[in-house]
Amino acid sequence: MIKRKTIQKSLTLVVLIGGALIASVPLYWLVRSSLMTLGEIFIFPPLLWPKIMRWSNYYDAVTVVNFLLYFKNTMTIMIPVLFGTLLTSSMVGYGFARMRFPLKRFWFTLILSSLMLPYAVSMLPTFLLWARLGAINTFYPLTVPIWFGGGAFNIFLLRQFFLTIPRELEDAAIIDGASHFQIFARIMTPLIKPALIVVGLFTFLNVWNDFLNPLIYLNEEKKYTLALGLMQFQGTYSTDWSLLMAGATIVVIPPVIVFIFGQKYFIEGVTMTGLKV
Amino acid sequence: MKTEQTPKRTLNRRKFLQLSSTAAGLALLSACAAPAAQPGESAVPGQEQILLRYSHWGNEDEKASTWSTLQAFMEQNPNITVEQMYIPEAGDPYLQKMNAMAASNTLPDGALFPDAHTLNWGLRDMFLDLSEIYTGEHEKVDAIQYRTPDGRIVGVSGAQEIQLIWYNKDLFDEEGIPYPPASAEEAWSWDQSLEFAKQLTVDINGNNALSAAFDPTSLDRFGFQIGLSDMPVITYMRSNGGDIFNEDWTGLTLDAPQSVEAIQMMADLMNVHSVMPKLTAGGTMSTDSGLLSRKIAMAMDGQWVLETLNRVRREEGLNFGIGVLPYIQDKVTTATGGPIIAFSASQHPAEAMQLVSFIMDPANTPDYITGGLWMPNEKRWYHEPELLSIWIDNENHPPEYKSAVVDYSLDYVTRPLPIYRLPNWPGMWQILNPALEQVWLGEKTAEEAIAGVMPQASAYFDAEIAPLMI
Amino acid sequence: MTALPADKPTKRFFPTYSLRRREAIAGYFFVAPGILGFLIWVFGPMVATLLLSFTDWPIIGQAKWVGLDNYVRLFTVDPFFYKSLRATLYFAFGSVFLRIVYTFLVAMLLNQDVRGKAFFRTVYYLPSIVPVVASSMIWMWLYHPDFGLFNAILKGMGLPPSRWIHGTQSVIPSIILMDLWAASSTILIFLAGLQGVPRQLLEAVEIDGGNWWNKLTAVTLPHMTPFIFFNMVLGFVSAFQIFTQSFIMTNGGPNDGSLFFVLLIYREAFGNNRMGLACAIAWILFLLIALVTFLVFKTSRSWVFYYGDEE
Repeated sequence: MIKRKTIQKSLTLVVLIGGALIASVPLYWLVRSSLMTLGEIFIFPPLLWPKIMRWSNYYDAVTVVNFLLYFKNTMTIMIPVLFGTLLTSSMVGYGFARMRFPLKRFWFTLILSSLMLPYAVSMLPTFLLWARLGAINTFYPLTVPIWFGGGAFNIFLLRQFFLTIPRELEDAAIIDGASHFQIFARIMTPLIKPALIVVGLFTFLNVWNDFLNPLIYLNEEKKYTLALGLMQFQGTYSTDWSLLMAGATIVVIPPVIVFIFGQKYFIEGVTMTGLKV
Repeated sequence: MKTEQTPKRTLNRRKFLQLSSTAAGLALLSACAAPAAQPGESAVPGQEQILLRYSHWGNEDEKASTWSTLQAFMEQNPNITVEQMYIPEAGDPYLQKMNAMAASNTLPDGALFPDAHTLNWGLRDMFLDLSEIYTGEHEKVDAIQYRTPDGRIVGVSGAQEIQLIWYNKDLFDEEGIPYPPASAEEAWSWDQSLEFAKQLTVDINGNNALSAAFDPTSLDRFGFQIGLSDMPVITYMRSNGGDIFNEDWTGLTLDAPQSVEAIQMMADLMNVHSVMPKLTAGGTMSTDSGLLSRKIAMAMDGQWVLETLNRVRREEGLNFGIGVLPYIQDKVTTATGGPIIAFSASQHPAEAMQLVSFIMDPANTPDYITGGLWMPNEKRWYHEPELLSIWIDNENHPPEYKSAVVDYSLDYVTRPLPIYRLPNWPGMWQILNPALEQVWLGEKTAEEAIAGVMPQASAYFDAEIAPLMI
Repeated sequence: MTALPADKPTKRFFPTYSLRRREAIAGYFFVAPGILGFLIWVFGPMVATLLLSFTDWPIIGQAKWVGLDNYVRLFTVDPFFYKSLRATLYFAFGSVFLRIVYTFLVAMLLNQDVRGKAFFRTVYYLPSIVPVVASSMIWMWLYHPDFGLFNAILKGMGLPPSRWIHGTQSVIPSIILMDLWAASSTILIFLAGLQGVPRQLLEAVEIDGGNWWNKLTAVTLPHMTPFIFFNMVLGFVSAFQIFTQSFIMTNGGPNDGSLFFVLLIYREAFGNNRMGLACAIAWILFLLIALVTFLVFKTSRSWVFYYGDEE
């Protein structure tokens, strides 16, 4: 019996290690290719590692295209989006979790249903609206809509968190004469700090990774985000694969760092939303 | 405990409310402020300073070159300020941005415009008629004028870019193969060049494509590469006496035997002879990395790659040469180039025309001309010795350039490509390309694929092209 | 609940009513951004899309009301619509089901008592945070028919090379494979779900002499159905909207094999200046997702089991 368990365990381990190796191949390949010369990159069968690591590819990548500017632009979008998401999604989440008002269920279901609506169905008129407002090639189309609840997913996630907080805390505050805003700002918000971190992390990734919206709304190179700027390596006339891979590595590193530091919250966040539906 | 904290909370609540209302206000404000900001940008108050905006695509070098041209223009015209709009991507993303600006009435005054969409926009009167300014000494090369059916010139390519052969000299030396000829008189026939391409195509065991032991599944080097976009396809159809459209642009000749055969010959390079990378249009290797990495011995590509190849020559020592295209029946090449246009929506049409004609004068774009990116768009540059000397007597233009490019372009450029005469060409290519891809992949013969796509192509021609051609 | 009896009689009193009213006002204040956001950025544009889908509008120029023409065109003469529909459905069904199977298996393995669980979890999760633009470029390179790693591996195993994203048959499976790699966030959800499967029930099966298969089918799977259901619904919604991968890697080819709906919408709207037609495709996409979601919900009654309380 014990023997069978051990065999089973080691088998599991072997499969897991094998899977993990396979799952790491693309990222390994990315880093490998980013350190190669063009000559090495086109050798078949491929080399597993460059003979000499060509770190200058990274220097070239950040000088060939304007990475610093793209980073600044990405951050210019990031900050208002983060702020808007955290503020409004926690407000809305709190409202739906704790307040009583007519048609609450109706509105909540409606907002939640937008999780299932494809973005494509609202994309074009929204684009035309921003065009009419003359806001194409500005950051407004990428930041302003976020101030309206920060998306159904975040509203839902925070509502779930607020629901887990015992009502007694509020009841006590109400008896003390605190208003709803006081309860929200002073009692509830501090309690859901972990959830806010989760929302913040997901928002960071969403902004960092967003491609379609910047593609549509940002015209000039001086407004480009990193995701958009990366596309330039697939140049108009030529593709330099090693620079492309170096550029891609640079874009991949920040989310990886954020993930490693915020791992605990990520897992909590994914689990929380996944479990509570 | 809680009661003690209450006063603090009240204070905080006020603060919080302030904060959130400011935030909400900000969001609203930004939504409303945006449109107000736009007109302020284009209408310069006070003195008669005129602001123009010029947009273009290209790489970082082109961005810098364009800026120096714009600066020269401003020096000549102190009352005009030109703002440079740089949009890196060509093609659909660029067009999408033009659409966005059209929808928001923020189009610039002049622009480098996506070639395939030029006639469509021109027929919708989005561009100013440039016929008047391109006369006399500024007469432009015939093959690169975007003409509407009623004869207006809505744009002219900033450069005449012809199709050529680019090759890595070292590889030819090593294999003891003569260089691709640099003059049309000596041009290789299709079969000759195929023979050389086979000698140059080598598998990982060192066997070339002529050897019996040749293993086409693991190749180290390819003898030949032709891009699979519309331009090379049309070029070789024409070289074989075929074409997509008939002489007067009133119908399709895509299914003519010569057209079909040319496509089959191109596909055979990949699927029968294995001398060319097996990719569809999106995935071919760029000429510079192909030649430099010694994975491609010779490649067909536009004249514009000269600039990049020069850079690779300087930085990495690439030893490249230029040749004329191999021919099937007729010795031909084709010309293209993104047009520089003036928008009819411009607030300052006269100045916009002035700007466009300035940029279109090759004398004002020295970086482009001497650097190798552009061939001049003006006829006299090909004949007048002083101008020709400015253009080609420099280290960026190798000795064979005169015969392989200048003379070749004078005598062997065919009639204009469809983009110069037909609106809605991109839609036609969207229909044709998937069919051709099946041929490139070896899933269908050219005959089958073209027979299959003809009904759709004809229907599209009748519905979207012919009605606009009156 | 206990508040109810006390609530009823006091309802007539003005002060209490006002208190309720104040809560209602405060409540609306709190949720107002969400409601406005839904109306402005979701519902309004949706209706606008529907209206625009009945027009012919080449952005540069005037819109013309054409009734159902766009829809008729799509379903009859349009050369791309059915190809796009096929590519989208193929990808959506393929990726959603494989995603569930793959992530479920990994979660099952991770749920065993193995060493380095946290490490494995990180390694498997990491791909899901890589920006799609970057991962598209990585995979484009892995899939390169002449110099890519995958063909080198096939070659090493003595198998014929594939054209991967450059082949009409292989393009969708290739994109699905790439998508699976990045699907790992689902593993965490399943993992959390597995931890909620009651141990007593598993042990009971063991005592009855059942093997791992009995445990899986009798206990684990039924308990996991709500999670599978949830991931299936959201998986379909996002899979139907795939865009960046084909935009970067294949531009919809070859032979329109990866011309997904959103790419077609983008191309029609901004490349071909057919805003009305693009809106019609967007609405069809919406209806398609609604239909699939409805079917999943409908069938869910027969295969999703809820244990214990619902929220």
